[in-house]
Parts: sequence; structure tokens; C-alpha cells
Amino acid sequence: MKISNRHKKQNISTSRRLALITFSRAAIAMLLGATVIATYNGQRKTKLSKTIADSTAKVLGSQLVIVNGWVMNKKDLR
Amino acid sequence: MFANLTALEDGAHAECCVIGSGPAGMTIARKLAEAGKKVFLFEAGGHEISEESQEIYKGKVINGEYFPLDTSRLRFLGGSSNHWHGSCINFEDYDFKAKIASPDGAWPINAQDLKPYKNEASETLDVKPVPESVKLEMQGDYDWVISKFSHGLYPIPQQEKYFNYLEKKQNLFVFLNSNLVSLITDGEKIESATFANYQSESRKIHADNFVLATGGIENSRILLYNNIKNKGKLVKNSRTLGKYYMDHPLDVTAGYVGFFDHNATPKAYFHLFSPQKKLLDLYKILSFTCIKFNELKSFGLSRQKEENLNIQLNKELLATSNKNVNENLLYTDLFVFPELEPIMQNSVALGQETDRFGVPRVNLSIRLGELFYRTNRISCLVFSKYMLEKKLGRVKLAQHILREEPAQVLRWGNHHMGGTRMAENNEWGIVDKNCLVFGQKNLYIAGSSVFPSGGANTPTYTIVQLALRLADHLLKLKI
Repeated sequence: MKISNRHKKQNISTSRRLALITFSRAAIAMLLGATVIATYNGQRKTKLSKTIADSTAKVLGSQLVIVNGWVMNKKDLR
Repeated sequence: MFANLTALEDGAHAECCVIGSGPAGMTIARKLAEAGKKVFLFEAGGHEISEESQEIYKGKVINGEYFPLDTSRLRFLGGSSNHWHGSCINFEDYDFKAKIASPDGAWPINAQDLKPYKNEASETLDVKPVPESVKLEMQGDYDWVISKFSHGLYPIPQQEKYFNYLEKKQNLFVFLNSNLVSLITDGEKIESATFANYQSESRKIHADNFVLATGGIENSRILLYNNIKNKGKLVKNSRTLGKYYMDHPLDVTAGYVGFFDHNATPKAYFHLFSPQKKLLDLYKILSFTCIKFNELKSFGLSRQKEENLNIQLNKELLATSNKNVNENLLYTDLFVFPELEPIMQNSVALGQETDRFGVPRVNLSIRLGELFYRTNRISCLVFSKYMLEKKLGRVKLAQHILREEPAQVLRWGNHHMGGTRMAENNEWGIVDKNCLVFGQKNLYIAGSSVFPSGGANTPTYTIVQLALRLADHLLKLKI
């Protein structure tokens, strides 16, 4: 409804509003449901592989590390 | 002027027949009509969205997860501009070139070929002229640009903007509810096209030139079907027909970005941080864009929940850090928009089921590959590093990024690209650099189906620039 009201304010035609609502519904359904779950081959390991870890370290360099997802300077770590 | 298909004499002739009234088709039809040419513009839908027209777009996604095909595009006057969000971004120069990670993505044209059409494209789409990207200071082994953009939030769609023009222009004949059911070639030239309305009444027409502008999926479907009907004489080398289909996956759960100063970058609705080619070559990845919103924009969260999230993330940061870190950051979602590799396996093909006009429906394959996951991870890492080193902020990355695993929620840009790609020769594509179908003298393709690669930018602006360029080409032919 939020989108619909905004369009009403902008004096957008009924046809276009319907089109936007159709589109928005699809987007909402996508977000609520199994949305677009990327189904890459399913054989990937669930833990960080050595190759990935090595290339991550290469990008970050010697001063940065990742702790609980945070990209941090080593000197700032507790 | 608007005209009825049934009022048209069988065998009627136009200097140009444009099929599809979205941003590409409408642009070409208008430009040719302005030059005094007699133009037929055929649109399969009516003035408004309708079930009977939209239903034709139904198809199957046989590999991968994707939007329902009948809602991610619109089949009535103005096409998908009727739900276009309005973002216009320049393709970077390197987006037209082959990348080390994906040599198949080169265009036979470059950014300079489209530059003369920038202002006209902005006027056509009713957005401010799109400024050039700004190169940020280079540091270390990476560098960035802020892609500047022009953004009209839900701008006026093409049919509303040009309705009066279409109604009054005497040499531009607009036929609504007219579905292309057949294209006939003699092997070198399109002889005729047949259109049918929803009452099964049909008319055959002739034209000096034909422009197929029915959208990124439909252009492939129409060529695939008509190539069979013409026993392979329409697209003589169909190796890539329908192949190299692309869209833009958008990872909206890549993590959080906390800013020391939310106004550190120039004011705008959002900023797009794009890498330069050097970085793509260094890590053998594709193009990507990290999106920074200028206001807190945690989609789907109330203001209270946003505040709670800020408190929680700042607590987490303090728990991880020593006393040197005493920051109170403002967070926003990190959006990553990586380029999808153009590969033959992602494709538009014909299914077993047919629509009411007997044309097979689409079977679409679109899957993410290893390169996508690597691009997603490395783009997040270099962006995080950049934010820290430039003292702009901090990033917390989601686990799926670091493990190169699928995101729980992945949106698509609804940017239907590829399938009839532009190439130097017919071994690698369907159209030449003027969008002419290889082996045909008078059949052109307009729209994002001709993109050999999609970069990490929204495509509409480029679609219109290409359409203007094609219209210029047709005018030079003195049709």
C-alpha cells in the first residue's frame, strides 16, 4: 500500500499503478518465500576452504584480519 | 496516430516497421517519424496492462531461481518502462572490453560510440544528463570510481510522456494489441511480417526495414521460433541465438557498512562505488558495484529496529576491539551488485507449451557460477579495505560472502540482457555493430538483448543510446 499511496500522490495513471503493484507483489513474494535462492552446484564446502582463505588474506594484506565478519586492523583487536 | 490493425490493408507498406513500444522501440519509431519516414509501430498489448497480453509472457525457469517471467516485464504500450525505477548510469569504458576473467564479454563498439547520444538519451528518458564518473584517488593495489548517475524515482513512463505525440503524428502509425506471429525471409531480406489481434484477425505487412524491439527475452524467443519456421534461413548461424542470457544479481544481505561521517561523500540518494579495470585484472574478477545510501536504509526495518540494529552492531564492534576503538557508527546495509558472467549455458530456449498464437513459450536458464561468488567476495573485501584505509567507515561482512556460498536472499535487477548479442561475426553473435542480424539486409534488433556483457550498471540508459544510434544508422541508409 505504501507504494500505491505514493503513486497516487504523484498522480500516476491507474494502469501504471496496477503494473507497479503487480511488480511489487512479485518482489514481496520473492522476499517472503524462497525468493531467489542461488542454487549453485550444491557441492561447495560449508566452511572456509584454504583457497578462499589464502586469497582473502592476499586481498586484505598483512595489517587487516576478519573477526566475526568484521574487517579490522590487527592493532585494533581486543 | 493510433490505428486499428483491421483497418490496415493486407500487404500495406512502411519505410520502417518497429515491433515493440518499450524505450528502445518507441525511441526509434519517434526518431524516424521525426525525419519524415512512414513508420508502423506494433505493440502487442493495449494502452493498459491486461491479463490477455501479460499471459503471453508466461514461461518456465528450468535452471536457477528467478522472477516469474510474466511479472518481471510488461506487455503494453511503453513496455517495461511502466515499472522502471529510473536509475541511469554510464557504462564504464572497460565494460565494453574483454575482461581477463571473462574474455567472451567484449563489445564490437566502445563507450565513445555511444557518447554522442548521452544528452538525447537523457531527454528521451526524462532524467537529468548523466554525469561522468569521478575517479577517486588511487591508493595501494586498487582504485575506485564513484559512478555518478541520474535518478528519477519512478519517472514518467514512455507511453505517458509520448502519448500526445503518438496520437498526433500523422506518419507514425501505432497499432495496439497486434502480436507478431510470423516473420518471413527470402534468405537475405525480410519479405513480410504478420500480426494478429486477440480476435485472431491478422494482417501481413511489408517494410524496407524491420526493427525487433520486444525486450531482452522476447527478442530471442521470436527469432528462435521464426528461424524454425524459415528453416534456418533467418539466423543462418544460430550457435549463440538465445545464449549468453544475463541479468544483474543483487546481494542485499552482503553485510553492514558503518560510517564515521555519513556525509563524507557528496550528497545524493546513493553512491555507487565501482572498481577500475586494474583491480578486475588483478583479482581476475568481473565488474561490480557497491552501493552506499546516504541515509539509513535498512530495507524492511522500522526506524526503531534500525536504531536497535545500530546499538547491537556498535556493541559487537566494541566487544571485538581494544580501547583504541571508541566509535559510534551509523550503519546501512551493504548492497553488492556483481556482474554476471556471460556464458552459453544461461539461455532463452523454446519450451513445449505454446501461447494462444502457437508460439512456443520460453524455457529460461540462469545460474550463478563460481566467478560470481568470487567476484562477490573480493568486491566486498576490497570495499571493506577501502573504507578502513580511507577512514570512511567499517564493514561487517556476512558469512556467505566469505564462504562463497549462496545468499539467503538474492534480488535480480530485472535487466534482461543477452540472447541476440552484438559481435564482430556470426560465430560469436547474432547482430553486427549496427544491430543488423547477420545474413539479413533489413532486420535489426534493438534493446538489451544485444548486450554481449552487462557490466554492473543499470541498462536502460545504454538501451536508449543504442536505439538512438540505430535510428541514426537507418536514416543514413536513406530508407
